[in-house]
Amino acid sequence: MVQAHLFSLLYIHLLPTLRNGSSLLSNSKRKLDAERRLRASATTMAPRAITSPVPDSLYPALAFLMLAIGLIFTATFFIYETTSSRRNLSIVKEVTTGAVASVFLGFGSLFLLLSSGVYV
Amino acid sequence: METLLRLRASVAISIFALLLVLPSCSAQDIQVVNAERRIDLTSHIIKVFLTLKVENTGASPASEILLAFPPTQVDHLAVVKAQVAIGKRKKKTYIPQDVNPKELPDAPNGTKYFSISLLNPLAAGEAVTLEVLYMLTHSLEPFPVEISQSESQLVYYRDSALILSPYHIKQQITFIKTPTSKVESFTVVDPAHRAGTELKYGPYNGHPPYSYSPVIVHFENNSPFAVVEELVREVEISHWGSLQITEQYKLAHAGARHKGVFSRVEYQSRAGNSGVSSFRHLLARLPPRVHSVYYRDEIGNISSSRLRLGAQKSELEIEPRYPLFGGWKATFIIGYGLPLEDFLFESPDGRRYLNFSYGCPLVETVVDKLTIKVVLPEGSKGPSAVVPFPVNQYLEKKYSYLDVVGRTVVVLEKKNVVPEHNTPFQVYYHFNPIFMLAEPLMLTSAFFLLFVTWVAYLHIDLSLRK
Repeated sequence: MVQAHLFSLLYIHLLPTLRNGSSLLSNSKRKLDAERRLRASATTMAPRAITSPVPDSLYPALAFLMLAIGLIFTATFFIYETTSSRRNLSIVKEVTTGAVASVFLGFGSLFLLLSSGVYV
Repeated sequence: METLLRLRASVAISIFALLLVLPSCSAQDIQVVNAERRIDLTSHIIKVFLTLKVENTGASPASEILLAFPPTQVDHLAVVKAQVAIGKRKKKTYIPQDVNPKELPDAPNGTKYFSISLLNPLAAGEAVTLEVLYMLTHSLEPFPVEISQSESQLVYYRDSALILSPYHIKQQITFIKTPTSKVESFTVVDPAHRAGTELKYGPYNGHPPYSYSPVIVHFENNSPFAVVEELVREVEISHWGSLQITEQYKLAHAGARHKGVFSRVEYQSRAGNSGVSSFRHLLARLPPRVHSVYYRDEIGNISSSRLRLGAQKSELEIEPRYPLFGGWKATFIIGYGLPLEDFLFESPDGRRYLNFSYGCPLVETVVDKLTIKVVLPEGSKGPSAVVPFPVNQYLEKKYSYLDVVGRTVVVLEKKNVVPEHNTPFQVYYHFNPIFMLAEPLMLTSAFFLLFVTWVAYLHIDLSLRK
């Protein structure tokens, strides 16, 4: 049986309420605030909450946008493939179009999964 | 020469004397001046509040106080907490002390001990007031063992009128509080007195250490004996913004077994007289800002539930498909999602940690075996858990959406969990944020493979004839 060691309960009682609304403050006030925050962080050390790199509310919009762009590039790819004759196909153009299309489709399907609740 | 010999002899004698004195300064130097015990039998989780006024009658300061328990009670002990009260009436502050189980070689009759390590050692001649709280589970024995639908539930509570202690107790008194004033019988150990819902044993003066006087109280207890036999809680962390929790319950009614038929007509028409010891509703306290709550079992979704969202907490009131009578069981799954920013933080040394509460969200229920699995995202390294009480910890692997190497799972197991254990615990791990790109890149490479296949198909000449 592995015994877990005791931990000081200081951090637990400090649930953060940090919501950065400093965009409306003037420059001088922002400096004072930063100073105050630095002093406060040196004494109380409120833990920083980790959120997603992209805000949650943007997921559906991003999914739609990226999938749309990805599908446009896919369409370009297939139009290029089918309209040019066999000999005139340039591999570089094909692969780049395919790569760009796959990047947008990949990110788009990721945001589609996230917005439909499958948090991968 | 003579002085040398005398010096050596005196040193030897003093060392010998010290050796004699050292082991004996354990139990005999401490005396309990006043002990008051309040036993609360209103629910199936027994709460005992013990107030000890302890005096150090020895010469050396005492740094630990021992609490003794009979071996039958120790198996059912869920929580033992101690605190020291400092200050007078209005300005009382309580300082919690560490309590750990202790083994003593010469314990009479198999007594088990818990030792309270005092933060400020008790100096010689001083007294301190200790407040101890301990909780017992599965200690109310239903008698009669089987009851029909229209009967009330009567249980036995076995304990001692005298507080078991390795020290002399000058004066002690025990109060037992029953849920209703219906007490069938209780062992009379003079002076014992019953008034309504309170039973008083004592005061008893000047009893030697390890004195024990067994008593049995036979009383009515119709509070819901809800016991979760096994609970598996899975907390899945996704760095894209959500915490998904799935809880699998095996609920049972641990009171007097139900015998005979279950008449639904009688149960619903005479609600006050029928099935008084059964329960229909269960309340689960969930964190605020919970979303996507579901309650289902093997058959499917159970719609008899109500969710009340609030600013401080959310309450989910669930009603299983049938009321639970003695010996009946119900199995179900509760799941919900929580926002990540309420629970995942960054520690000063660069690691991330999940701050979540241990324990079962159901109120007033005992969990026989609780397993919490924290599923860390792919690419997490060096997981470790910090829990305020001893748990069994190990690691596992789980394969979930878009996983290649598998996710590390930190498993924390504990037996005999009561609502007092709903305290936060932390799971620390290292995570490089660049690993979050692994998932979209995996999808991108899958699509790119399709495009490359198409290009290859176009360029490869598969004809048999030129």
